[in-house]
Amino acid sequence: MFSILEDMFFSAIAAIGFASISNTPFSAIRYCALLAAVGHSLRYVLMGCFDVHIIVAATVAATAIGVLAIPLGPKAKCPPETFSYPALLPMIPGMYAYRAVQGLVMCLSSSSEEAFKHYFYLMNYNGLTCIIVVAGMVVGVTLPIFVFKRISFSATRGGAED
Amino acid sequence: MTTMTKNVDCCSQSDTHDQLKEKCRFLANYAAELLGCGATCIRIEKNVRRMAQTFGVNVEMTLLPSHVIVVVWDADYTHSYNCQAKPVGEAINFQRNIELSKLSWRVVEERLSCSRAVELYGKVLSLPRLNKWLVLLLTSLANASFCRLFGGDFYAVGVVFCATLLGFLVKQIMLEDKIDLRITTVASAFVASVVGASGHLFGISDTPELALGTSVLFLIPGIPYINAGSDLFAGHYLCSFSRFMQAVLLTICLSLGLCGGMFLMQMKFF
Amino acid sequence: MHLVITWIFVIGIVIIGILFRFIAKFNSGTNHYNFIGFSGGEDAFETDDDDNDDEER
Repeated sequence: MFSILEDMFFSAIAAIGFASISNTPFSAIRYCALLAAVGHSLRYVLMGCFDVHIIVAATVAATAIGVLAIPLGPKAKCPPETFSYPALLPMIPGMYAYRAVQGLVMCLSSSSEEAFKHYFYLMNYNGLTCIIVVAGMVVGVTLPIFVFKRISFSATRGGAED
Repeated sequence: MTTMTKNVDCCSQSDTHDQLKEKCRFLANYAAELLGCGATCIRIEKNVRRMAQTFGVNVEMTLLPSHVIVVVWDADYTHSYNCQAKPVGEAINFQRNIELSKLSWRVVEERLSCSRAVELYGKVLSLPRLNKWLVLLLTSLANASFCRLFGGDFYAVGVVFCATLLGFLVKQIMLEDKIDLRITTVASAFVASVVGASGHLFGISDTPELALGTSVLFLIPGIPYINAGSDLFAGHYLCSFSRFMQAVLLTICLSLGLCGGMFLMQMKFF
Repeated sequence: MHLVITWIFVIGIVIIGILFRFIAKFNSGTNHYNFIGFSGGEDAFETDDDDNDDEER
């Protein structure tokens, strides 16, 4: 339980920081933090407790973020993607990308066929996992915006101040 | 009589031309600004069409990766004006995205004239970004949290905090000096990875490889990847591909900087 | 040991470079920093070049 709370806390902080790079206003940043906490902890629970593969877990978590962002959009008077996109950033699988690059460098500098095959396998496995996880996350977060078009594109209605 | 009618016709044609020109220029610059601040193509289209409908004109838009071409026709398709605009800035700016979207709804709900819309548009453009020191601190905290999420111990988190602080500061300074973003990314990744390698070098952490690995993650262009996905769904394949390639290029630059730092510090890959 | 020296050298150059830049900016009297990544301060509305516009059809 404590580890889930810790996961939520740190992913919220990560989302706040990455959202500030994209100049998200403070009124939207708290929703970023909330969505990131929910999404990342959901992925953590799915992978840890239910042994779900990272690809499926990340897609489900991203879909949850995407769906939750839709009703929050009109509430915050912001387009849903302004807080769902930064909320996704803590879930990007950096380690798989590094191992893929490591595999690429090692297989190019290997001398025997066996070593090459081994590193080539590592590069492909990690590279493909990384690419498909990111693709799954992008699909998961973007699909709700297109499904709930009317709400997504009228979120900023009535929110302008002089 | 005939001469007077001719004069009246000329005046009204010139008025129509001026009005169309004003609306076209505004819509083109609005669309270009939204494109530059990282909005998805479908949002740009919907916002522009919404405002064009309120202004009583018909609009056709072509969204290209670095340009926007807008053609505005009057209500009965007898006169048109077209305009091309190029985004000025390329940094993602969600606040501007939000305010411009709000502006488009305001135009519809309050039935604003084009000149009033231009005035409000100017006000949105003059809104300042978040304080750069606050962004520096928040980003460093974010990347440090990232390290913790990957399972790093608290010493590794501290190393990553310092690495991000210095790396992001280098990035901010280089971007202020208008140095190309790709070179900036390489340099920033190099600095961050050299600091990140201090976990290995000074033996201050139990998970030094995580510190090294996460020290450059603040440079990953996550939003362009997601925007590329959204543009793909909406059928804007050119913009999608362009954004995707830009993000891939930045990722490659990041990797180059990381490899450079690891090579200099003679770190073996983990 | 030489790796530690290399590390100190690289970080030292970066920090000294940053300090020099701040001092230079402070001395030149400009305390205004351009915003991150935002190239240029010209009003986007004015970038339109009328010469590029097609004539009215």
